[in-house]
Amino acid sequence: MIRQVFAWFLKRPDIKVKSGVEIYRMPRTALIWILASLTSVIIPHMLRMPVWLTLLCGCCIGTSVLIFQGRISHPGSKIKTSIVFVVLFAIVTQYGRDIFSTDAIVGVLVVGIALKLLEMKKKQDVLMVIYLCYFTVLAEFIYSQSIPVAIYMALTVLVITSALMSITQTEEFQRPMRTLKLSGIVLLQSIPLMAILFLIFPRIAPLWSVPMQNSNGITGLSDEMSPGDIGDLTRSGDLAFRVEFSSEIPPYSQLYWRGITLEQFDGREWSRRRFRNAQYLGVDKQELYPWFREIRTLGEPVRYNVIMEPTQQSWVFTLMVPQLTNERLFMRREFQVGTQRPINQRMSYDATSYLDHIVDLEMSRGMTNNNLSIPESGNEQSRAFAEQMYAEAESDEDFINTILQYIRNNEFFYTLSPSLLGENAIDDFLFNTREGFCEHYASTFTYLMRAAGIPARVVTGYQGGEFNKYNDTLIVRQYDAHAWSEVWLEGRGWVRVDPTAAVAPGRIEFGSQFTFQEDEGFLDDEVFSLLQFRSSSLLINDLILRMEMIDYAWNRFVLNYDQGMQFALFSRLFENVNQRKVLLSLLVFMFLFTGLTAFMVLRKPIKKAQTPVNALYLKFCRFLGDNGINRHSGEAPMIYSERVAAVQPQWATDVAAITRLYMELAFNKISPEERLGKTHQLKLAIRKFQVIN
Amino acid sequence: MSKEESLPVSDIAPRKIRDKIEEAVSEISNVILGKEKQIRLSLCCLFAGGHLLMEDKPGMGKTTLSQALANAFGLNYSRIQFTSDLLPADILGVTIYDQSNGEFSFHQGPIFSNLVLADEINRTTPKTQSALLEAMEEGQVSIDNKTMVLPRPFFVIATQNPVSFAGTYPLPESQLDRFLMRLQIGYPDPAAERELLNNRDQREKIAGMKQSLNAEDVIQISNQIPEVHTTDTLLDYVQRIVAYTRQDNLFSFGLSPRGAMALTRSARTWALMHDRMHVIPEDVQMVLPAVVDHRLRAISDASGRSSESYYQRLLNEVDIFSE
Repeated sequence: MIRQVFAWFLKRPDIKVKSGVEIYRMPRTALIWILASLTSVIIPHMLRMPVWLTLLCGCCIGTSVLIFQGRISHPGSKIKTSIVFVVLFAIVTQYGRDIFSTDAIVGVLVVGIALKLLEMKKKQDVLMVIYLCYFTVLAEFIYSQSIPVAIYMALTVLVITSALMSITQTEEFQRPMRTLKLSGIVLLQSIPLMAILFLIFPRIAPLWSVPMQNSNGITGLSDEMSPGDIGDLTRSGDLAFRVEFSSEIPPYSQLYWRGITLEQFDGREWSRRRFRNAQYLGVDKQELYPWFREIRTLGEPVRYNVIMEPTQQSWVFTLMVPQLTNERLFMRREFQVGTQRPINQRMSYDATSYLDHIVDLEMSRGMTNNNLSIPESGNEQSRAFAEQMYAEAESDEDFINTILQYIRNNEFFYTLSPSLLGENAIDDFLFNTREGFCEHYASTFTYLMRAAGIPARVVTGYQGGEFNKYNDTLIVRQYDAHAWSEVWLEGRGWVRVDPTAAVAPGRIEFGSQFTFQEDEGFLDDEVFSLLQFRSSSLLINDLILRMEMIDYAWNRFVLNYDQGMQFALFSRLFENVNQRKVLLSLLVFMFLFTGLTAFMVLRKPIKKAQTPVNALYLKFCRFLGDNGINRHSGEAPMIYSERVAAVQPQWATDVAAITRLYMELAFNKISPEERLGKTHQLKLAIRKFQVIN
Repeated sequence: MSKEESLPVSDIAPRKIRDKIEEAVSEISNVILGKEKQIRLSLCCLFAGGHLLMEDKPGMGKTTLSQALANAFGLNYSRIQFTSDLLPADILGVTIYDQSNGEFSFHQGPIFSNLVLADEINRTTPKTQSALLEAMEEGQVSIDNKTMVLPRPFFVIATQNPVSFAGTYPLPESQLDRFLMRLQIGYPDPAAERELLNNRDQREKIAGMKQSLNAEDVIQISNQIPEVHTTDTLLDYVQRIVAYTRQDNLFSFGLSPRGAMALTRSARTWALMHDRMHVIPEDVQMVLPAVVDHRLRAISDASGRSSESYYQRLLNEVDIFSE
């Protein structure tokens, strides 16, 4: 079946070349490989491309086959020009203002290759198509860098390399699979070089950044929170970050990954305070600030490395209370750790946290006020409730416990699809709907604290995560997102209080995946995800964790391999390294390497390579030579064969047969098909002879 | 010759011709005993349309061989004994006034034959030598502004005594080059010599020879030569041989392009004679000594004669395959 399809493709009349017009005649298998590479380059982009672009590519592929078969001729320049204009116009219309987006640029690239198919008149044109394929295949990396994509791209590169090889092959090569095998061998051979270059090639910061539209909304936390307005929270299983602990792993209920603190409340929405005089604290300056100096730490620190998915935001997640160890990170007054720029690519950072700590024993008046402010009006009921309870409580701690007790004892529900809240959101939740998720509880609790005169704030981040026993990492997914409160107590500083624990203790103890499994909305977006089925089978759960492990290694050691890691590698190998030295020695090394190679190549006299048939025969002669019968210089094959037969009579028939086959191939007039078959026959005969003897 | 028989045989050359050649070889072998290789090479030279130079001491059978060749082919044969007073006209012919019809008429010289034996060519003056060589080269002669075509096939066997013998005008290199091959017959081996001594008169034997081939056959074979296939691998080999002779530290001059062409053409003919439509390295090696022998002069040897060891070096040191 495949043979027949190939045969149809390869059908080509022997066109008489018009006088004066040199038309490049592509080898037959080349067309198959070029079309295959174009198709495999386009497939991953197809989902993002408009349908008409895909159809256009299909048409171009079809037309190029017809041109190759000589059924139609190459389109003239007028037709070509008009096609180009029409397509360009269509693309501009299609993408409009997004014309400089990655999607549009990839679209132009793809359509460019497809149209180039129509004018493959010269070898350069064909090469152009192939090189563009190599280029476009890389564009896929802008969208995804996962292992499956990398594997797919490697396969595509294999196909494109086959195309590149096939255009240099003669008409004799009529079996495309042989080309594939050959290019596979070549690519395998190039792997060591690739690995070395991967490790030592200088990592230079990109000169420009690629415009991305990654802020699709569902990923990551936003810097405001208004629980009353969300009726149906979709929680995705997307990866948020991974953590690898280098010290002892803290208990699960302590894993509060602190993201941002929300201190401003307008009665409905919590938001981040926009600092006018924010105190940013770099790693080099941390001793300068009293509030930092006054952090009292107890016990052993927790050390960990986090690899974070891009969020387009500029904060990272740490356990309370973090110590800065990384010069790219800085800390703000409320112990929130961030970066200078939005995180638009996967980022890795090391952090150290002291889980036992006392912070901000003394707090400034301004900061106290910030954490007490509530709108003058609204939520009257709640405010009265707080004031009343506070009056009844013996201490601040007692008051907190009373509130938590209240939530626990009354019929509060934890759900991802709560009713919407009315104008006085806090009142409505506390006395009316009584159903919600962490944000509702954190928001209400913090409000009550502030109403009672205890400084409090909302913190959002992630809680818990999933522990992967295969590589000792903690996987934190988007559905682990959480919100909790921090209250300031006299003599104790800031203390974390999680009101959600009062209503859904399992959420904190075991993680959200066990709490929400039955809940609607949980993983609604992940229809095809294995995560959907993880509860049904231990095996699948195991599989997920193993895949996670591989993916982690891929991220940690391949995608994350940057200047820093390269530098670390060099420091491990050599003493006394610095960036400049590394770069300089690499340059010198490369210069010397290329120089030496060039020298060696240029010094050697130009040598004609043996034809494949002669090479085979010489290999055979060497084998005989290793067995004691050297072919003399100038000894012709037939004479040699007779000499071998005289010395080793048991070989006579085989050697004579091989020699006859070789003579036929090397010196007789022979058709290309026959040559290919007989070369193979010769190869087999020699191999067989070597195996037997 | 079992070697050639095991080679792949192509059917393009008619088997009839091959049988005729074999017959001719055995017929001639009856006359010249124990010299089969030389006989085959001289046949090859004849088919290739070249001319043959036989160099040996007197009495080695040069004349016998050429007579036998002429008889085996049924070619008309003339023999010119070269002497120091021989003039070009003695070879080419003369124009004589015919009184009976009052016109000048041309009387053809001995060169107007299919096979010319030029005996002891180095005994005559360079002027006469070059008249013969010109005719050999052109296949025609010009006398009194008239051009006359020589019969086809036209084959010259020139014999010469070794240069060291007294009273000779040795042929210059440029003229040696005109001969396709140079052969030495050499002393017969004892068995052949015994048979020779036992036998009847040689002349009777030559007269009683059976004609195996005719002029038509020779032309037919000649016409097939260009169709014999040579592959790149083979031509690479030939070119490497040629390049080897041109190295300036071995020979005072290397093979000329004409020499290279002679080598290929002889190899083609040799292949054809063995029923093959393609040349193999063995063919080249078989004809090589005869073709290059008179075209090379080693630096160490000023006499113009390259001894056997020189072409043996070519055979041994130039490999069939490039390094």
